[in-house]
Amino acid sequence: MYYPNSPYCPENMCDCNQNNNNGGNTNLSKEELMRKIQEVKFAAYDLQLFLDTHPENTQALDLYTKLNATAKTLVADYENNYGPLKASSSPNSVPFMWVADDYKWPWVKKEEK
Amino acid sequence: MWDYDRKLMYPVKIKNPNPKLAKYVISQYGGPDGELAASLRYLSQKYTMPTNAAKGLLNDIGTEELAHLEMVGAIVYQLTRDIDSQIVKDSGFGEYFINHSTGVYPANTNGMPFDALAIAVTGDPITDLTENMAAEQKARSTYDNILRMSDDPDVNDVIKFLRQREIVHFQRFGEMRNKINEMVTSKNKFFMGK
Repeated sequence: MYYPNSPYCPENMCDCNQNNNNGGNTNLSKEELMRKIQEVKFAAYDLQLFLDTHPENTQALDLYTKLNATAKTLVADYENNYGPLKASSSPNSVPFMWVADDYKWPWVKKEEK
Repeated sequence: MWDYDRKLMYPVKIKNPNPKLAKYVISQYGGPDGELAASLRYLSQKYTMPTNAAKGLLNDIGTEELAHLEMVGAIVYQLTRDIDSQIVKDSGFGEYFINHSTGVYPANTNGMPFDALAIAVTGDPITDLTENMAAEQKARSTYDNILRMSDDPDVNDVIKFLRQREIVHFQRFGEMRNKINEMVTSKNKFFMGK
């Protein structure tokens, strides 16, 4: 009912019958994993707005909770492999990775220095 | 406060420079119906909303608009990479370029700087929520016009995402306005918490 046919929907929330792989995504490339994080976090955020005006909806709240748990796993995978998504996740090593020259900001074009 | 995530809400990956299109798109950065106006409008209105749910909705949508602002800025930035002075002259981007080079400045397509006169904060929840519903439709119209003028699939993909969000926000604001409407008393006064 909510996000049919998305490969990232939590189990049993729709009838898309996809195998859910909500953790251990280290086989994904940096771009693929980022895309997955964007999809899951977007779905959760959209549900957050829905819950703001439908705070009694248990089905939406259940899916919201599951999507946030999935996002947490995906973000941990990303940060372990590719770098911090929040400054506070930066590793305890110099130079400070948050502003390292080879760790690009998300608005920078791929081929750009 | 806000806790920055080092990612765009939706990916912006534009291959080809197009300063003429950048000049159109920038209206959704600093124009009257753009994302800066939207975020300032909602994040300023939130304080005087009469219910916790309404405060939360304004906070959440205002936050999302800041993420949209970053995406629109990324479109403008990426559309103006690797351009030379001849392209700037031929594309009509020259007037903007003289003042800002390729910096991303909050202005509309005509170069008019962002003005808070574009937003309303009345302190009246029905008025503010109705203003917001109109604002979402105005932003949707602007995105429709950008889609009419743009033939770049990389840009259109992002614009379609942003356009769709306007429709969702319109729906949520409408739901919240209906809830607040039920709090209007027979004397046509709002229950303001005291």
